[in-house]
Amino acid sequence: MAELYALQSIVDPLKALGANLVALSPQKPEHGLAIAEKNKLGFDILSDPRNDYAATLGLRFALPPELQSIYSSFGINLPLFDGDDSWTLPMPGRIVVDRHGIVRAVDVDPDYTVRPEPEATLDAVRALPR
Amino acid sequence: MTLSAKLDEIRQGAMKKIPADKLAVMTQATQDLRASGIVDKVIKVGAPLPAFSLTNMRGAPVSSADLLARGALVLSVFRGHW
Repeated sequence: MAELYALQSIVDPLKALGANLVALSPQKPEHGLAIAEKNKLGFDILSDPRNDYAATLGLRFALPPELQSIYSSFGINLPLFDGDDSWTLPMPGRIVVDRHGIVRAVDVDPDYTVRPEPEATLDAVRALPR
Repeated sequence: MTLSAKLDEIRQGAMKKIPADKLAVMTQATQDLRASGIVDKVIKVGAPLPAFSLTNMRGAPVSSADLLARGALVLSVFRGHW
């Protein structure tokens, strides 16, 4: 949640640049609503069932069985949260798209503890042709 | 505080809480994912964003076409609330 909370800081600067921000996760909408309300987020959290859209971006992967049992032991019940028993996740990533729909920046890391700085994303949007 | 500094704090806290055997499996899984070459298959700069039509947290439809009609778009993909 630290990432979504940090992203809130660039919502207004992005709007000033004519850009929009949306977040996306495989979770059911109710979880997105809880996050958005708790953190007073000014952007949408979209629900991507089965990570099907994330797969078109090359981000989806299946958790190996040993990781499924560890996540389960932490109370991370992906089938319950996501409404899908496939035990897949997306690699976290940030993608900047220009107004013509062309990808202009991609920041992805297989290590889920690494996330791009919101300021770097803002810089990537500033660099887009207006 | 930058996001990466905050994430460092969270990471340090998690490493103290998670038993060593589980942490080893998790670390190995991340290494395996990196070694799988998955990153090479991620969408590239210069490619068109695949269109999407999904629902937001209130169940309202949101499409990439609608968003792009209003300007540039930042898409931030995350795993979950947990």
